Amino acid sequence: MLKPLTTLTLLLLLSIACFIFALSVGSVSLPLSDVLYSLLGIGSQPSTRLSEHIILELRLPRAYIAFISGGLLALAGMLMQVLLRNPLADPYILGVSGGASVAAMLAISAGFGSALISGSAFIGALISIVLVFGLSHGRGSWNPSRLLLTGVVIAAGWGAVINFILSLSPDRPLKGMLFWLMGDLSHTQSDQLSNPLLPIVLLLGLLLSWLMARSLNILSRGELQASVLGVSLKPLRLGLFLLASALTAVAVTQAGSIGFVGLIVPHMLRLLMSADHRWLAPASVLCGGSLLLISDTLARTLIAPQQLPVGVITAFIGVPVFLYLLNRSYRQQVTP
Amino acid sequence: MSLLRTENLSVQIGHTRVCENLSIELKAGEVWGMLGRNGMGKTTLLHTLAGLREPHQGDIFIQQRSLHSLRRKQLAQRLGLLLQQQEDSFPSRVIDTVISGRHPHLSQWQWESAQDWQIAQQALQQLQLSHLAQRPINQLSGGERQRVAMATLITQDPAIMLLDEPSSHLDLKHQIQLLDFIRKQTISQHKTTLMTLHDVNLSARYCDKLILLLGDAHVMVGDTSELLNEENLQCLYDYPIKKIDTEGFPLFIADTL
Repeated sequence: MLKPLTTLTLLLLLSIACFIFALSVGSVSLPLSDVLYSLLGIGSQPSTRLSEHIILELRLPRAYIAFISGGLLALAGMLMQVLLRNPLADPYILGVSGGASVAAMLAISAGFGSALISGSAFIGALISIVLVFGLSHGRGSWNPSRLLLTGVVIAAGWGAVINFILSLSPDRPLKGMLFWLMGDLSHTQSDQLSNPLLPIVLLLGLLLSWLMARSLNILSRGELQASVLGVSLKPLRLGLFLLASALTAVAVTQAGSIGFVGLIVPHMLRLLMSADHRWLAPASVLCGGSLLLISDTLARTLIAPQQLPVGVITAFIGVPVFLYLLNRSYRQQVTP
Repeated sequence: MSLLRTENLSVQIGHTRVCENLSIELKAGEVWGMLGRNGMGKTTLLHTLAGLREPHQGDIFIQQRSLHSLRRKQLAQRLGLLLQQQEDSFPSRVIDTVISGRHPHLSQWQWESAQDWQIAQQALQQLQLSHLAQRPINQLSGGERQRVAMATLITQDPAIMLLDEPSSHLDLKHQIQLLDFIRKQTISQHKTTLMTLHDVNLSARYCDKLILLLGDAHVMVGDTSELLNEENLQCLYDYPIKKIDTEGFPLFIADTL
């Protein structure tokens, strides 16, 4: 295992490297000096104004949204995994993305613009959250298996609605819908950079996770044990559910539904670094952000000018890395 | 000094009555045992005393204060419960599991201090687990895991220790070592311990007082030496029990039907 502080530092450096990579590659490759000048105003001025425009107006907003969405998803995944005490839980497991997807697809088929699609997605996500919470909280006790089953069934229901819409929809909006379902950051507007909402949500999420972090450590040892050690379960569970859902809803609204980031990043860090959520929360944000940023950069460059849905790339990167780590950790267990 | 007291406590599981109007008082330095057949409500009664479930009727007092007036965290500073089963959903090291016992003693933002780590290390040492400190928790055997849970409880350092089958999964030597340790801790630190046991002879050896759950709210409470006899045990286990007198203390064994 790596030392938590070392890992966090490495992840911070990785994040910076990912940003520089994302800003310099694309349809035109730009030298590092241009990137540094445009961002920080240091070094020599680029030869043309065009490179500054590409970096600041096109690549930076998209990189920024990718990083924040990735961070949101990884953090939400970490919270969901503790809430359900299931390492297989991801931010979408309770159907948040399903609700968002259905609403977004209805908006796409109605021919709305990207702002309205995002708005509908957010409302769809909220409807799904309220639905799952209401159904699993209704009467009787609230336990993780009931919540999990309710969420999974609601998600399956949304899945059916999505297929229904897809099969009825004419060819023209179909591609947009498919991209949305697999994650798409290509609609990012340059004015997103000045929108303070996203970083505030991410920082607030991180702060709240941090506030709960030691309780999360205890909760991951089971609800009874958590109660015995002085954790008040009801407020903690409710807080976890609402926070994880809200973070997911914001991420889905920005980036469409992107798989694997929220599932593998927290689990990977648990294997690599520490199970202490005080370290895990910031590390998940940095690692999730980097993963999504690098995936999105590859998605727009690999077969340029054609763009790929970013969810495809996160899976291509995430699956082998995760399997390798899992394999390694179980090998260690056999021969300690 | 009274650490845990119940007043007219009634506990039910569904329609099954565990106890009715039970009034007991656990004092500092006392080790209590609880015996009963499977499904008689031993765990339910322990969980009720630990505030994990509501009693049907009656009151529970923790160090003279009503259980209801204590917040979860305050309760956890005074009362600890060794659960029958441990849940390990995520990878974690042994020492990180044991340090979780300090949770009720820390404020929201506080990190574990060097002293907290020392308490955890010491607890591992007392249970002869120091060599496992850095091991992943899911590599342990059942008995080692049980002792790690006990070390967590010792790290929590409550005045009242409720133990649900502390000797399960343990081999003979570790059973004796653990129960010796529990008894010593209880007496030297002025704690009180109530544990469920399935071994009559261990309870004869380690408990000052006993609670026998006979079912249908029929409960016997008293000194171990007075309660442990063939007649009571036959009634308790619904099976013939034979007493063998040895030097020192009597042994109870299951007779043939």
